[in-house]
Amino acid sequence: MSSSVEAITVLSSDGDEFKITVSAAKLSKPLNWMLEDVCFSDDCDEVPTIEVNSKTLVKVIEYCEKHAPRANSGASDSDAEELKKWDIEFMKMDVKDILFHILMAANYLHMEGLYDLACQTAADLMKGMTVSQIRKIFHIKNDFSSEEQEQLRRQHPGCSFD
Amino acid sequence: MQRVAGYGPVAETVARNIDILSKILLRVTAKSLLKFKCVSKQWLTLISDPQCCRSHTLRQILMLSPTPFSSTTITDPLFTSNSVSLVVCVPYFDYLNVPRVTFLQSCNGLLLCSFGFLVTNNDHSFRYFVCNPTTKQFTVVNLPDREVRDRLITLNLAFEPSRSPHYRVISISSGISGVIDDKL
Repeated sequence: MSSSVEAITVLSSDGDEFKITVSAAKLSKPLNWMLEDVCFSDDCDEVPTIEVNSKTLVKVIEYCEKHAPRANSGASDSDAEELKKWDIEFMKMDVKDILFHILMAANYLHMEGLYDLACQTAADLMKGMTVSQIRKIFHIKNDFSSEEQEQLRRQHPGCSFD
Repeated sequence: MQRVAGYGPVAETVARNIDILSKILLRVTAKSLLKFKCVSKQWLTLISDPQCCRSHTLRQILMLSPTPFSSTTITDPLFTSNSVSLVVCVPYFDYLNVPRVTFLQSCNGLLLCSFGFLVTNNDHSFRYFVCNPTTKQFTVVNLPDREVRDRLITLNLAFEPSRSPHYRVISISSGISGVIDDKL
């Protein structure tokens, strides 16, 4: 890879092209490996595909670009505080639409910070929900027999299957 | 099964991935976690796993203040130490099958109790036990030897989850002190 390259082009799973700076791409191990393996110079037209849809990839790249300066150089406490606030705003998204995609993408791209953030957002979303709401979101079937439900009710008085 | 509008098949993929699911569940409150035991058999197994409980506890400690757990002695007037009401017969403790229970201490919902019995006409002896009123489980505390028993000043429950997942019973006798393992 030529050291003059500052940004690389990647394809989303939908086939759209995205630019990501080299320093931002380093936040992800697989992207970092790609940087080492794939030729990104001008005379090379191979564009790597990332198995993440366009809508999600936009968000992931936004996160990487924001976090890259701190990850690469370290930062003061006030920067860390500012970044935390930014993370909270960043996660104020239409969760139904994109949260789980971000979570899967962060897992796939080995991005610990974003993965933690997405898991926490998912946990915050779930904690106010009833058991049946959880089943609906994750498409889980209630597989307890009536005897097993009765036994659980005895062990945990007040527990609810709804 | 009908999908809830908005949450696509990706939510299903998340729930099927035990690593990801565990990571999310570690971040919900203990109260929600108990509630979610009723979601499915898989969730029940996952949440009931001792390793999951321990990881959850340790995570909560990291997130909260440095010393969130402390053993507290019951200060309710019913249990004050110098009144007759110290020795009570509480119907909820029928399962212990002892006539009169003395509550010595509570620690995160576990109770350290004793009951006295006559050995001879003038000689009393005490048995100590730890019980969990929620699960109705109890275990007898075996004091190491007679010397400890005879010179016993106090017996206490202690719990420091960052050090050990187990509760300890600490005995202090004049001239001797020790920790008795208790894994209720």
